[in-house]
Amino acid sequence: MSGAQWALVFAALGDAEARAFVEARAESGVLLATPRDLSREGWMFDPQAPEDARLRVGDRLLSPREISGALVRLIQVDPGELSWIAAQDRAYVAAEMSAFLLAFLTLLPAPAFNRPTSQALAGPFWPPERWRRLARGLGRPAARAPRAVVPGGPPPRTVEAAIRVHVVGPSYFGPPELRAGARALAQAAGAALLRLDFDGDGALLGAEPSIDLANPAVAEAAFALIAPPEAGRAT
Amino acid sequence: MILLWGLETDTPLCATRETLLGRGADVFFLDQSRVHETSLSLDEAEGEIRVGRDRLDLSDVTAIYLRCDDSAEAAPDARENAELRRHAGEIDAAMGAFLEATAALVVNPFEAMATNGSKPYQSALIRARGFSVPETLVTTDPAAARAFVARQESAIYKSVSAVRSIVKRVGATQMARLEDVAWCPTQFQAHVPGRDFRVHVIGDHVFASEIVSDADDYRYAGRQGESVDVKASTLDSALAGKCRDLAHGLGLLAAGVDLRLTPDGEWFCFEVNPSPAFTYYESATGQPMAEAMAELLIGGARSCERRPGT
Repeated sequence: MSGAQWALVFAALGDAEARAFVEARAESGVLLATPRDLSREGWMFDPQAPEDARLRVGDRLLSPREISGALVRLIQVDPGELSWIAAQDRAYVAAEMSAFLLAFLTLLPAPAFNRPTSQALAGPFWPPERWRRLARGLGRPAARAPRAVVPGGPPPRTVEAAIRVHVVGPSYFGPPELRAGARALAQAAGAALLRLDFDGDGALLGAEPSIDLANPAVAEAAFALIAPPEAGRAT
Repeated sequence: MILLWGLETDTPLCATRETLLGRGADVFFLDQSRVHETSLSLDEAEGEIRVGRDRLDLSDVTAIYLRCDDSAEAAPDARENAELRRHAGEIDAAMGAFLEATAALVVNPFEAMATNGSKPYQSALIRARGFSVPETLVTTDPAAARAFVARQESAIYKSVSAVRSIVKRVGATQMARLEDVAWCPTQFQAHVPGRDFRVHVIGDHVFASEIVSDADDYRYAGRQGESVDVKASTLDSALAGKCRDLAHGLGLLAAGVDLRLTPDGEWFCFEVNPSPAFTYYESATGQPMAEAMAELLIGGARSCERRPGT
């Protein structure tokens, strides 16, 4: 994308993985955008003309034309992070920020991974049962993981993953025998970035749109998706 | 079996239950105010719900109508009881998982309803389906907000999300406080003059009501010292079909579409309510909306009975 100099990572203030990812690539034009930036003067967005939007990230004012790509780590804005907002208004402001980002990131005329769904900014954030139903519909094996909720009972048991794999755009990280199934699920869900959990027999347990940026290979693949064309020039 | 999920004090749910029972349908009401005595076991789309002594086999569910909120808010004493809040949250999560796994008809799926959680997002979807939408700016820039308002004959502001969603006119008081928009993205829109219509789409049925009120937001007319008159109306078949296509295109089998007809004859759509309190309009107009809802749910039940493996 001509003129695109900056890659953005939309993440929570407390997302240490995202912060480390950005700091390691700051010289390549990667910027961290957090809910703090949404409390800074400068954002402008008309849903009928998203190409004319303006973003405020740190001390920079950006236009969408200057963005090579965006990595979205937020599910929604957490009211607990908004320490600069009066306590009684945090839930409302967090809802407003989440709603704004949903529209903004959906319509942003630059690649965004993942695009939001109506329920989560980072893409398909579904209950495990929906992922398993999707897997069965694709002819892929899915585990059964019953849940029981009883008043006064213990928290529902979480089935630990035996195998965790990642789909990051065209890249795949995991055992070869799970590659085709993982890619088919990601494609069917419309998710470029997906972390999938399987049991020891290779049956799907569930999936999430948040990838492990602490894994260097996964992080490099994610960077390749959003990197400015001239990554490496001085900022 | 038709499952209703929400509060037993909720008027649309109660009206639907009465109509369903009148038609001889089997109904199970999952009352959120009884979450403290609710248990749920789920194995993909199978399992059971127990509320006190009542039991529902989830395999028997053919249609679901939900008008639920956070169960922790509905449960008596939950505010002071962390264990009950946790339990209520787990019931909601398990119900959400069931809704994703079941082949039953769901009115409406959470994912479809969530489009209304971001007004500019839903506005883009509405515009893509051929309706006019108001000129809009969402901004944290006071100067940009000031310039936008100055360009309009009259402007309104309203929340970006579905929280505290009340439409208000931008007046001198708001102009004096525009610096505050720097704290949070704030949505401004051109005020569109005209006549208000609420169109309910329920299954394939379309019911139009005209709203007569001088309030900026007729839902809160009382707070503004204004009155509201609701009367039955009709739409031409093309516009009715467009409303039906809009709701169904958003994944909503039942919806309340808010329209305004300008003096120039242009139809604007402001938003699509995914969980309309249709009984308010039904009682004012006599339009048989609960009947239509019952028909939709029973029809869903019949289509499930025909579906192999369910």
